[in-house]
Amino acid sequence: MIQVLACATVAIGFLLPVSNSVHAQWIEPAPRPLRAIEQVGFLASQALRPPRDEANSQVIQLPDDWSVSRPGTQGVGWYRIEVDLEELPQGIYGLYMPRFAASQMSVVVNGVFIGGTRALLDPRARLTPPALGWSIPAALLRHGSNVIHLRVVADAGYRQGLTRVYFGGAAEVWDARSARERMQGLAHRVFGFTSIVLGFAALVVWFRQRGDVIIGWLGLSAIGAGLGPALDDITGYGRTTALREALVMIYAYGFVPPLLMVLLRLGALRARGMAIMSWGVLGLAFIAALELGLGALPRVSPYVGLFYVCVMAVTVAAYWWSRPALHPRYLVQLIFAAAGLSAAFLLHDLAIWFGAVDFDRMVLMPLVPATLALLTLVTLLSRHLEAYRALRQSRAQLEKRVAERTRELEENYERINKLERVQSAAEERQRIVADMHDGLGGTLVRLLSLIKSGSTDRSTLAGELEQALIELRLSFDSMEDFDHDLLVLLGAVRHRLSRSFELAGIEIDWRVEPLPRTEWLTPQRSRHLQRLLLEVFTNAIRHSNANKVSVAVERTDEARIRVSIKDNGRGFDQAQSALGRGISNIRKRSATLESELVLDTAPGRGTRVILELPKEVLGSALVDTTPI
Amino acid sequence: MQLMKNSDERGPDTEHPISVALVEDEAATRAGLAATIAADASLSLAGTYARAGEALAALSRATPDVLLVDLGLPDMSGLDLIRAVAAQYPSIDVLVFTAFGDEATVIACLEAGARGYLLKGSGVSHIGFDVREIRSGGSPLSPQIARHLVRRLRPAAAPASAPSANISGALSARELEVLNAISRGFSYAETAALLGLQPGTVHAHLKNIYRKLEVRSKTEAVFEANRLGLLK
Repeated sequence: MIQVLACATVAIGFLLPVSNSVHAQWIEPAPRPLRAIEQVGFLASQALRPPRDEANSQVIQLPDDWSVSRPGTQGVGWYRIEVDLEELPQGIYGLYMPRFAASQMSVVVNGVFIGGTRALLDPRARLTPPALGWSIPAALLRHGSNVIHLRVVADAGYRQGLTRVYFGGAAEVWDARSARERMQGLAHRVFGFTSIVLGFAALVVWFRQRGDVIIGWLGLSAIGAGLGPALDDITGYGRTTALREALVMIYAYGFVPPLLMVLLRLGALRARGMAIMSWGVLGLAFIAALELGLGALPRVSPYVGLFYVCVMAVTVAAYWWSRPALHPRYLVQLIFAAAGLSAAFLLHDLAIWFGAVDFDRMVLMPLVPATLALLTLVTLLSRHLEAYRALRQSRAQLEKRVAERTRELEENYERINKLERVQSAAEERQRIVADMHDGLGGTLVRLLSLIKSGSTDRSTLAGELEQALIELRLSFDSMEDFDHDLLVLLGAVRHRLSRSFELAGIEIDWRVEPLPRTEWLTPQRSRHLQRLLLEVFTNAIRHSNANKVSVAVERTDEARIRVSIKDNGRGFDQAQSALGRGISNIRKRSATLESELVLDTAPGRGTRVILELPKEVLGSALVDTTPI
Repeated sequence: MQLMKNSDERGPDTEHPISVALVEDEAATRAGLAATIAADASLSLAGTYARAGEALAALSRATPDVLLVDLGLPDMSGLDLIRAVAAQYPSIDVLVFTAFGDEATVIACLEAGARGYLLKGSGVSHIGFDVREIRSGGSPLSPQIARHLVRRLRPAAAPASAPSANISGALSARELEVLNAISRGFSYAETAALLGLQPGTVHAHLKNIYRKLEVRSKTEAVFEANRLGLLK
């Protein structure tokens, strides 16, 4: 998928600039097609006017590369071009040169000066020399033979001279020129800026994820490659200086060392020496260019280029040798394709430089940022897709784990719940058994022994039975909820005994203040408290002969709850009382409740029972959202 | 027992005795109760029935003032009988016989429409007093039941699922005070004194509260039925 995308992008990217020339040459009929002029006359002369003396000029073939034909020369020469027109001149004609290969040029048509470049366009310190077109009005031409003179200021050291020259209709001239410019000027800029933007995007990714060094170097390389074309436009015009020449080298080759780092990293190659050398060469070239002064560019730059081509070739070879499979294959292939293509472009331009091919060929270096921009884009995309895939995977895993954990928790919860149910059922059972044992059971046993002993006092028997019923009702109460309220419990005991109090002629003085509900009052404690109170009240009803019982519930200064039960009966002697069993039950229950019990009684003085509940009662108070 | 008080302190109205009918399947208890009622000048026995069916049939002919219902009947649940009587004969005060007067039973009976309950076994001779007392304001409420009613009928804390928007059956502030006092163990007389009311007013409040409980439980049943889609 991503491979197809990459290929399509490459195809479109490269076809766009070419399309115009295809259009111009094949689809539109060219009424006055360009004709190449390959043979011209040349005369080295500094004269400002075209030489009249044709005899001294020599006949030469175009292109005329001074570094080949006039090595070491730096000067001025006049080229003489003869053009035969078979028709009557009409409209506008023109001259086209694919590459402006001189420092300055002036054009004279049939003895009339039509224009010059002056120093404005000196292309010596540019990566891409511009194409040139000259318009020639028909009025300056005539039917038959015409002579066009070109005055050329050139420097053999920079491989200057005169490229092929084409003559034809002005429209055809400008078509050809714009096609060439589009390829190495417009594409140049578009790819350059794209490369810079994507390079920065890659750097941002690297900044967020420092471990991903490859994307970092790739970003730097893309920026380096994009800077050349961008800066070429800004600094390429104007006077050539040593600094500008040095800078041109930096931005021509700046992309290579970072790209090399990418290749090394990708191949997991530990070629530290090579990495350092590739950076060092760039620095050395810069310093050398500055040291050597104006004119250093042509002497240093080609060799730097050659060095880098070699280094890249070695790295690619080393990679194929080691063949690590650390990254997606398509990405590795793409990176090596980009590196290979860049190296090829570089090699092509070096071939121009060293004279292996004609110097009016198109320079391909401007296409390097295109390949690097594409590479960076695909890498970013692949990183994004990888991250997305990883995210999806980890989310799926996470969901799976959450589901597992939820199931576990549910199972645990279920188990605990079951256990709690079993446990609370067991506790409840135990409570009921204990209840029956101390309450109803005891009363029934007593009743049985009374009957067996022959006591037939009906009122005693009825009293005992009544007591048994009360015990049973209290058991019922304790199975219901006291709403965690001590007073509800206390009131319930009173309620159950109200008929007994009434029958015994006892008046109740009930003094209670509202208390907070409390966690402390568990069913177990409720039962003990209930039984304790029952014992106290029963003693008062049966034995005290009192006619008033006061019940007070209050908070003490120590934040405890005090329950006082006082009767005005006859009291008893604690040491010799027949009530011993009942009293010891009361004490036991009080101890179980971790409460303090004070029993204050003596014959003739009434009885007072004071129960101080533990601090925890108020300490574990429940907060009601809606107070009752 | 020798200190048993005279139950006729209020002075029973012997000229207009309260007619009482009785539904109890246990013959001995039924006979004992019938005898006690017959002996009480303030009460008149309107009929005794062993089964709910018999009672319902008899009610269609003549309605007593009070119907005593035992919960464990052979042909119909006591609660269903209470519901039926409360729906058809609102003028009858239904009283329930219960052995324990425990919260769950009492609340269920009150919700079904009973006006009060009598504890079995605690002095059958008291029954005339109890019946009159209940007629005037319902049976003595245990603190647990009072607390239950507070929680159940509290205006603000009605459960979200209950149809509390119209507050049909929510307690008034005074009723809440009455119930709160009772839930803290105060007797009716003490509650009246505590709140500065006449004893009769406390009884009247309690009567209202019982009715509200019945209304509330009915509305809730309707609401629940609506929620379950049983009613259209």
